Amino acid sequence: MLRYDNYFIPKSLDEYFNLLTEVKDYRIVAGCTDVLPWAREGRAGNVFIKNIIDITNIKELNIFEIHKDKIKISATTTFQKLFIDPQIRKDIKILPQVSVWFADDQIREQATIGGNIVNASPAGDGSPAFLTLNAQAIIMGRKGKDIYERKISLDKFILGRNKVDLQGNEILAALEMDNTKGYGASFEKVGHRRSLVISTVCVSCVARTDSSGKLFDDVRIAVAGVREIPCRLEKTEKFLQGKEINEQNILQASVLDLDVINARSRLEYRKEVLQNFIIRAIIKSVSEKIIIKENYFEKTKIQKLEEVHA
Amino acid sequence: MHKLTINLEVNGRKINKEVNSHYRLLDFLREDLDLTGSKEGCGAGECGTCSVFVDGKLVKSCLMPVAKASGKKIETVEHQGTPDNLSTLQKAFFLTGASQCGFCIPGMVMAATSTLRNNPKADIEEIKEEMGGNICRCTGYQKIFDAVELARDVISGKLDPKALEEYSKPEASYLGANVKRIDAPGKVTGRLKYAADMKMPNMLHMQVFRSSRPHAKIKKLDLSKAKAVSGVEAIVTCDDVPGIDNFGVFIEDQPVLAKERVRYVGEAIAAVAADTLEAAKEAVSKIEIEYEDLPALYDPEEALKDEILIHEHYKTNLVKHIPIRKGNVEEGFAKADLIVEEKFATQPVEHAYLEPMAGLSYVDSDGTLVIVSPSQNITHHRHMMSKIMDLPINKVRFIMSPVGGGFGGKEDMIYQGMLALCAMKTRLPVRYVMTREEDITSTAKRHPSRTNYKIGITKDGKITAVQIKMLADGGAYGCSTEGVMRKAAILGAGPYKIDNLQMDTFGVYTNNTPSGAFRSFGALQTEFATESILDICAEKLNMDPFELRRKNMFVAGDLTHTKQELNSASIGTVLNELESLASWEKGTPNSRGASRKDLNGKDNRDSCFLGARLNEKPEASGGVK
Repeated sequence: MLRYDNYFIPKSLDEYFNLLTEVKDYRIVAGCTDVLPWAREGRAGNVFIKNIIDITNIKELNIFEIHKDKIKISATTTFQKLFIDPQIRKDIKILPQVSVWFADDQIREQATIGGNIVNASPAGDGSPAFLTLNAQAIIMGRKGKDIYERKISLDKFILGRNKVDLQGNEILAALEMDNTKGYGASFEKVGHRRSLVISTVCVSCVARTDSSGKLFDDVRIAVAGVREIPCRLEKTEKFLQGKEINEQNILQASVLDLDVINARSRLEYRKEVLQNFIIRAIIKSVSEKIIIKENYFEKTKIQKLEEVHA
Repeated sequence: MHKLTINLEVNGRKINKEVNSHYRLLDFLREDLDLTGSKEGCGAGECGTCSVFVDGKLVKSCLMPVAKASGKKIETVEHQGTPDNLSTLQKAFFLTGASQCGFCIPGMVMAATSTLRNNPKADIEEIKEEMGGNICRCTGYQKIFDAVELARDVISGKLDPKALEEYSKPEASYLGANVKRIDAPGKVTGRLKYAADMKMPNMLHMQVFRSSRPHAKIKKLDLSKAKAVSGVEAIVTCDDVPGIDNFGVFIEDQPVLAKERVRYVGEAIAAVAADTLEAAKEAVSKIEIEYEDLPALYDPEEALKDEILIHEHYKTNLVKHIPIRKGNVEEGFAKADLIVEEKFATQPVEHAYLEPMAGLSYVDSDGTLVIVSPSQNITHHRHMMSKIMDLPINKVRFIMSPVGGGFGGKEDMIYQGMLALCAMKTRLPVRYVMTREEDITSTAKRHPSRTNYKIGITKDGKITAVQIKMLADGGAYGCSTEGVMRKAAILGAGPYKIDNLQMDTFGVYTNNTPSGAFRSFGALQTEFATESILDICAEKLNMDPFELRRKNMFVAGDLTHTKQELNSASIGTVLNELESLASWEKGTPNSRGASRKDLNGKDNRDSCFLGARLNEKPEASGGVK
């Protein structure tokens, strides 16, 4: 059971930073969908924190801007907003795709993208999707009376399990990401069930072909669930750049980064799933314009993989 | 306790109230407003029994601090309809029989309402996807989905609202007829009160101090700091039991609260009754204990050696051995062309009823001890309680509250003794509601089993002899182990004619969580072995598995393994039905059939995907420069 004496909902950054200097023993929350299940038997148990500071009503954090090249959205944006917003659905297809796999409709109404990132769970679903959008974390802090802002790329912001690069009184304010209009996208995830499940493996992919529709132009893939920190698959991406879209190239690409897996359990399973997910995600992200000669979904990929190696 | 003031609207009613600052929206609705249609099945956002609308958006109220709800409009299941004026969705849930135990149903009604509000034309995939955050344990979901589709069609005008009243009037038989489930209106509207929903004036809250050790002597138990917590009315231990402190369904081996030693992790040692839940929890955290660890048993094979004894005075760890002897197995095996020997094992299983254990106890004006709980066996519990409390049977009353799913899990008496002790000691009503975690840790599970199987069979598929030995882990206390062993022995060899049968089932004590009653009561474990080995035999004999079973199945007039004559036998009908539903193609169990009618057929579901509400098909999103 989580117990606290005060629940603060500051309305401005100034009010927020003032609170941090006034109260001791506090925890910052947003959607609360992680902190409440955490304070239960088997995890943290009965927890008492004197002050809870809820950042979801800070007016300066009410950011939702979609520009031609970039989008800038607040850390307190809910996943359901990413799922239902018409512009996002049209142009940044990876965001509704990751959202539909994120928890369930009801939790998405509360859970925020900032909370998901700052929690830095190795199995977090949001980060790999944001990584494929070259996300920059916008961080705000206050020195004396001056509020400052700094930007850091998301892959550098996440330092490890439950660890991110926030110093002093800093807060993750927003994310700035690529507007991937014209890109296809695919989010692949597996866990013990369909809704409300922690990823065993998840893969995010955004990609587009060249204007002929025959060559890969830009492919970006990121994974989570298989290692401490989510990451992009750089060798795979580089290999595919400019290559013809065909079975051989996709299969060859799919094995290049399997060594990113560094999980505590079920290594072989994760490896097999990851490779299949990479193949499927690439195909789905570009498949409107290409004809896949054979049905990838019914074949045993691992067997094909051995042929590739031979 | 710290308070905060909130202003909000609940079901159209404006409310300005001081509440406990750490309350979740769910606590506020249930404890302060008595809107108990929102249930707490897990408290961790997993089950959806607490779903409510906040400013028109469906959320899980167990994940929302009440402070967040201030200034918002809340809508709960109580606002959706009343038993005499049901909403369209509620009528549909009523008609399709979607409410069984009913505990998940208020949340389901809310999730379905949200789904159809968001898209009145939602197709079945969208419905499944959007309701994915709500769990049901009884129905297998089909009746719930049927209800939502029915309501959708009525709302869209595709179906006449009269379709919501189409109950059949059974004349000859109730079998196969859709009769009105009379308890449904109370369930679909969230009006039915389960034990955790009940409240009495001056009611205390009970919390339990549990063992962290699998097997240990209790050297010292210090309650002084716990008793000093403000609000604590009583703390009970085994010393407070007035009568015979040994109970059990078959063997009376269990104390109400651990006596001198603990035998499993999660065993109750002391129970605190306090004026608030928070005070009771705080007191539990202040109980001090010293253990002297004893060697523990986790393996039933080890338990059979009796080197470590779980209950010393029994001189053995064997709870029950049930033998069945029929014919002569040696002669039977001699006649066989093929002998197959295999080992099978099954794991412990949690019942996972949606309603966690809960109960309320009080002493009536005439001194009668009353216990209200979702017990599946109240008469027996009443007899046990009369001995424990040293009260004549007419001074013990059990009231069965609605059971929010049991599956056998609420058959063994688990917490009612502690509640009764607290009520008797304080003479105040006492309520106890387990958390999901506590329920999973401390209550009985399905018996884990290990089965050694030997079967003799002729080359044309007639069983000549069967020898089965099953060893089950009964855990720390007897509970229903004896009965489970009996059923496992009687039914385990399956509905087949076996002239020579030697069946032995053994239940033993270990320091694992007690095993108890669970659907099929032991038959599942042994029958799993039987059906598996028959498939292995069919494979080895190059025979169709249905044919093999038909050659050996019971028919009317046959004698069962315990020599009862059967007036009828339905296994033949079941096999025919199964064969057709599975689109089975004749062949051995390991063959895959020539035309694979089982694949991509009408009865096959597409592979698992999400995204029914996305613009593009999940197969393709196609990006081009």
